[in-house]
Amino acid sequence: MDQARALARESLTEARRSLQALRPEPLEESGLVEAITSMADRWSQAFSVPLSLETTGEPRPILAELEATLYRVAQEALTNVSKHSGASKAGLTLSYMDDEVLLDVRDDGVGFDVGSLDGNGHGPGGFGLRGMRQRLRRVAGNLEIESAPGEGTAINASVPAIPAEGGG
Amino acid sequence: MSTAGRPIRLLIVDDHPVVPVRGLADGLRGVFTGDPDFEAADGDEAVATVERIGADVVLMDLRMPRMGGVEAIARLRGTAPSAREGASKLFVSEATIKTHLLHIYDKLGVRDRAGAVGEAYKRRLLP
Repeated sequence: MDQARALARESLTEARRSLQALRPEPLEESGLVEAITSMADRWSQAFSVPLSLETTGEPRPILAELEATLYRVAQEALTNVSKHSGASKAGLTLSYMDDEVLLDVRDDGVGFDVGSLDGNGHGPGGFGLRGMRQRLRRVAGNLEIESAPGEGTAINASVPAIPAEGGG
Repeated sequence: MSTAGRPIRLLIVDDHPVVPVRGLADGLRGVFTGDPDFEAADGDEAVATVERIGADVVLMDLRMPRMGGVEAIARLRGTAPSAREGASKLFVSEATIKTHLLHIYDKLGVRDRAGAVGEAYKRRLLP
């Protein structure tokens, strides 16, 4: 019986550890807005692309998995901007609405033909879009991609605004 | 009555085209002389018509399907940006603009921009 208990405790610890591994480290120490802000600032400096960051609504803690998803999507979207867009500026907007949280990453770069993507975001302009879409689908979120050659690119990620456990 | 020697062009916009508009057009024919007035059935059509052939005076019904009168007037005056223009100006996605609009409609209990503007006036949210 003791052994069983010890085993159970061990696997619980293990499970917690692997859950933590999925959570981006910056989110361990601060809220989503702060974590994304400092990540975006670092990105902006590293690639010398001015970035405006805005938050609308009332930022509040949402479920850890949702925050992690938005953080990763923001990271991937900015990676796309620096790798592919040739943008001279970028904008990141977090909109806290009653029922959902939206993340926009927009750039004024070369853009691409959204029609060239297949349903999974695969195609010449596919880049990491497929991964982003999958991440969002896993948490009942959604990804919209808006772009046209010469007109920059905007991605819009939305997740349900489920409050963090324990009232945040 | 004329502007620069040509008749004033009158556009009547109403989604109930048969009786009232005909009556209105006939009644106004005496005022706006010699003008083959033209008609549109909703705001969309009104904006398209004005863009195509112009108009000096537009009589606009407010409640119409698709684009209502308030929005059409704002469009005609060049004051109502599309979601695309708004997104470009604010440097966000169109999806975000549309989501915000839908939330506003929902909160005001309306279905479109014209309704939102009307409701906002009613609640004195707009000056």
